[in-house]
Order: sequence, then structure tokens, then C-alpha cells
Amino acid sequence: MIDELSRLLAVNGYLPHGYCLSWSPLLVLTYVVSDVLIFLSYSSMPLALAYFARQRKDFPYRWLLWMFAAFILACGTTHLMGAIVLWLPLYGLDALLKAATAFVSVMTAIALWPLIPHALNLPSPKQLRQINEELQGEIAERKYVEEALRLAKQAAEENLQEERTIRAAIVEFSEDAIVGKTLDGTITSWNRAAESMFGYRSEEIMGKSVLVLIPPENWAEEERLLDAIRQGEAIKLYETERVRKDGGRIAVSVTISPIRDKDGRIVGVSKIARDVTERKRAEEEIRRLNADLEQRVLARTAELTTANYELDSFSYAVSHDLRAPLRAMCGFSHALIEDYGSQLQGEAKVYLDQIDIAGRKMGDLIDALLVLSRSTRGELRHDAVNLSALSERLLAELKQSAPERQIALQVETGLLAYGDVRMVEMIMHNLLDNAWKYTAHAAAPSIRVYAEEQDGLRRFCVADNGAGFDMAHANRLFQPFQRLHRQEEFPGIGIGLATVQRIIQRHGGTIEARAEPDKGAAFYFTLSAVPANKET
Amino acid sequence: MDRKVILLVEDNPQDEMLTLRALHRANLANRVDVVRDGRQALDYLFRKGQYAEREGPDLPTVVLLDIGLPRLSGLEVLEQLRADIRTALLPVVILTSSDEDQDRLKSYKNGANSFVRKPLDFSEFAETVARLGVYWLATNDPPPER
Repeated sequence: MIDELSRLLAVNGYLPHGYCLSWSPLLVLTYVVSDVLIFLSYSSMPLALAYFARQRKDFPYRWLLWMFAAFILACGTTHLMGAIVLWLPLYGLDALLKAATAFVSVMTAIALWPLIPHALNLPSPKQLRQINEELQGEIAERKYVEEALRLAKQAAEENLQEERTIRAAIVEFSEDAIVGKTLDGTITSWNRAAESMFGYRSEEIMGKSVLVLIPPENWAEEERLLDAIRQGEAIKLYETERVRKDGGRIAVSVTISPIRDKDGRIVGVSKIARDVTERKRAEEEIRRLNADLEQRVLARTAELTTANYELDSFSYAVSHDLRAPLRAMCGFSHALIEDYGSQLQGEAKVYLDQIDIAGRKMGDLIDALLVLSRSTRGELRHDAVNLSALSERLLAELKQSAPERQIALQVETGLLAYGDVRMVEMIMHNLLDNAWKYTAHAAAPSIRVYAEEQDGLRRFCVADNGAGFDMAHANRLFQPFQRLHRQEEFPGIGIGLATVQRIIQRHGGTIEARAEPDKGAAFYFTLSAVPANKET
Repeated sequence: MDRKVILLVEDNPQDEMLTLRALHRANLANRVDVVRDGRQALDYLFRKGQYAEREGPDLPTVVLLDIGLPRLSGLEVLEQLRADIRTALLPVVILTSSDEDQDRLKSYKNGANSFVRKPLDFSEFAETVARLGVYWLATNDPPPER
């Protein structure tokens, strides 16, 4: 094999290639020059590729560059051999080199084709430039954003600082004592209000146990509260007592909340305490005053109840006991007349009649007193009363009692009053009775019932054109047993208007009179201090 | 035939005289028994104490009962009469000076058959008493005997 190879590489047996060219100088020269130039050129190319490969280490197909370099170099060598074999017939070596060149070329070609699609995907310089520009844009934008972020962060930090300052000021100058402490009760912060409320300066109290502020009898309670705080509960507006440095006790309302770290663990306690000593004192004062007032109301009510009871008993006694002797006086004077009338002489009968008359009069007075007394007793009912219908009925009754009287009656329709229907009837009965009575001697008597507006209040009016009275005596009008007319002119006992006024006052209303002698009288009344509805 | 009896319960002697006079004048003198307080009234009606041996029918035809009585008031007497089966249906007329609503109300609530106010006027009084006598002795049918 070695022999075969050495034979192949030997120069013996073959003619130099120049013979094939008949040593034509021009041909030989062209061959030699061309082959040498090709060889030199081909030799320089791998150098260029190697340089490129060295400079562009990021080039993705470096192995391809090496293959190109090898096959170009191999091609160059075959051309050099082409020049050499003109004179030295080293055809064996030439053939080996050609074969090697062929192998390298084929390998390169095979390797090249599959690369083409990848190579096509490689960005072109133009694309790269474009991408580059885009990248530059992005970078600029990112820089801008980063700057903005930096400024924002700076501003936020400044704000945070400012907020911290404000918060610190709020805590420091709060009217409420704000105290921070650890979970075992060691004081960790202390504001000015705490200083003035409890009397300890910040440096005196920091690091001390909060128990110095708490009355010993409340220590168990404090422990219970701390337990609740450890469980994450908050205690709002809890009212308790605290001890000042000078030993004085103050009433406080405290709000206790857990302080958590950023992971939510409870690491401390904040206590906000408000001095409620003054408020407590005021509350106590109000309670005391209320109790006192209640006591006085009770006492007054008892007094009034007693007075009412006595009045009731009095009325009852009057009703029962004052009548019986009167009945005896009247009864026996009658019995005397009936049984012994024939034996009575002179004015005896007249005198007995006077006893009877006086007895009746006394009876009427007792009845009137009872009516007056009842008008101020008993529960007041609240009814809607049709005053028009009531007046018409009462006037009809009066007309029936004296059918011969010609009198003009005028009652406004739709008059509605609110009050105790029995008492309203008593009012109208008295007022209409009076009007009827005092128009007895009038030339063209008339009675009017109507309503009118006065200072936003609707008031009812009963007016007549009868005897009237002198307003100079008006102050006696509503007093019991006071009369403005003589008995023989107009009989009466003077209790009606007194009763009317008491009923109206019980309803919260007022009554007044306008009159003129021989022109008539008008009585105006309201049943309540509240303006009545217009529709009524 | 038993006689009809009116029981007058009256503590005021003058009222008693006037009432009796009116009943006599109306020819209702059948028989009027008079007791002067609430305790006596119950003793009379239940034949107790001083009235244990009294003569006459078991019960009167009607009781004229005043309210303002010594010891037991008329209203209390009425209450006890209504609570006892023997007198639960006995006609009782309250005859009183009072015209108080509360007296009238209590009387009817306690089961009075009638409420009459003694008029002040003598003629009226005499007439009222006479009418009462006539009504309860002659007009009204008493409850059946038990």
C-alpha cells in the first residue's frame, strides 16, 4: 500500500504536462501565470474569512466559514499543482489533492443548501437598521418612563414624609391622649394630651408599665382587655377610671385597638383616651336634677291628687248631704200648708212660702255649684263636634219652650269644633240660653252663630242684639255668682258663664265678650291654642 | 195571702217621715218596714240578729235603698244582696239625694233595678215616691218564688 502510494506519487513514467502543450511559450505562460494568480487569490480568501470570523464572533455559521476556507484553499492548491505539473509530472499527488478538493467542495455544498432557508431568515442590514431604530425608540421611551418613575417616587417619598409629619402633629396635638404600648403593657409613645391628662412627662413614663395609670382594682379588667386585643378585637369608647400622677382619679372614655406589623401580626396596642370627668359630672348632675324633679313632680302630683280627692269628696258631700236638710225645710213647710193650711192665720202661709222659695233657691245654687265643679273634673274627651247641628238643636229646643217668641235665628253651616262633646254642648247651651234670655225685651230679636278668623285663629261667635251690658263690668262677667242684671229683669244665678270659661280654659282655648247696653252682646271663643284647619 | 211589704232603708229621719207621709197619702200603707243603716238592712233581709224573729214574708216586694248610709253604704248592701242566691233577684230601687254619675254607674253595675234621685221640690218628691210605690207593688211582677 505504501509502495502503491509512493509509486503513485513518483514522477517516473509520465511526461510533464508541458508536452501536452508542445511547450508553446504563450500557452505555458498563460497557464502558469493564471494558475499561480488563482492560487494566490484563493489563498488570500481564507485569510479574509478567518479575519471576518475572528471579528464577528456572533456570526451564527462559523463552521461554514471554515468549510469555505478549506474548500477555497483546496481549490487554490489544485491550481498550484496545475502549474507544477507543467514541468513535474506529479499527477498522483495532483489527483490526491483534486480528490481532497472534491470531497471538501461536496461537503461544503451539502452543508450549504440546508442553510439557505436559515440564511434567508437572517435580517438584512436594512431590517437590522429598522429594528435598531425601533430599539432606540424603545430605549428612549424606557428612559423617559424611568425618569418619570424616579420623579414620582421622589414626590411620593416627599409626600410620605409630609404625611408622616402631619400625622405626627395630629397625634401630638390631639385633644385626646394617644398612648402606644407593647402587648405586655409597656408604654412606647405618649402625646401632649397624655402629658396634661395624666400629669406624666413623656420621658418619665416611656418604658414604664401602663399599670401606673390604672387603679389597682381595675388591673384584672386591664388584663382582660389586653387579652381581647391580643385576639385582634378593638374596644370602642369604653368608660373607666384612670389615676393621674398626683393620685387624682379621672373618668375616661378609651378606645383601644391592636397595632399590626406589615404581616398582620399584632405587635402593640394604641389607646385613645378622652377625659370625660366633666361630662360624667354633668350627667350625674342631670341625673340628680331629674331625680329631684321627679321627686317634686311626684310630691306635687300627690298634693294635686289629694286636692282633687278632697274636691271630689266635697262635691260628693254637697251633692248628698246639703240637699237633704233643704228637702226637709221645703217638705215640711209644704206639709204644714197641706195638712194645717185651714188653721194658719195672717201671713203664716206667706212665710211658709218664703221658706220654700229660699230652699229652692239654695237647691239651685247647689246644683249650679256642682255643675261648675264637674266642668273642671273628669277626663277630657276629644271629639269632632258639629257646632252648627248642635246650635240648631239647642235653638229648636228653646223655640219649643217659648213658641210665641218671634226671633231671627242664623246659624252658619259646617262649623266644626274639636273637644269633649258633652262639655262643648254645655258651652253652647249656656251661651244660647243667655242669648235667648237677654233678647226677651228686644224689638226685633236675633241670634247669630258663626265663625271668624282672628290673628290666624278661627274663633266661634254667639252674638245677639239683646240687653247687652256695660263693658266696664266685663271683668265680673265670668266670675261665679256675679250678675250684671237684676233678678227681676232677667232671672239667673250667675254660674253659666263661669262654667263656660272653665270648660274653655280646660280645652286650652279662650273666651272674650263684646257688648253694649241695649245693643247686644257677642261671645267669641276658641277651643284650642292651635290654629284650626281652614276647611272646617 | 201574704201582704206586700216595702223595705225602706233610710238613715235621715226627716226623709223617712216625708217618704212615709207620701206613701200613706198614696194609700200604700200596706206595710212599710224601715231600717236605718246597711247592717240592719242585711239583718232584716237575711233574718239575722235583732230581725231573726221578725214577722211577715221572707222578703219584701221592693227595697228602697239610700246610698249614704252609716256602717255599710247602700252600694255595699246592694253588692252583698246580689252575691247571695236568696236575694240575687230581689227588686232594689236606689233612692238617693245624689246625682253623681259615678253613683249611678256603680248602682247599675251592682245590679240595681232602678235609680231615682230624691227631688228637692216637695210635691215632686211626694209624687215620685207615690209612683214608685204603685209601680213596684202593683204594676211590676216580681221574680218567681224559688
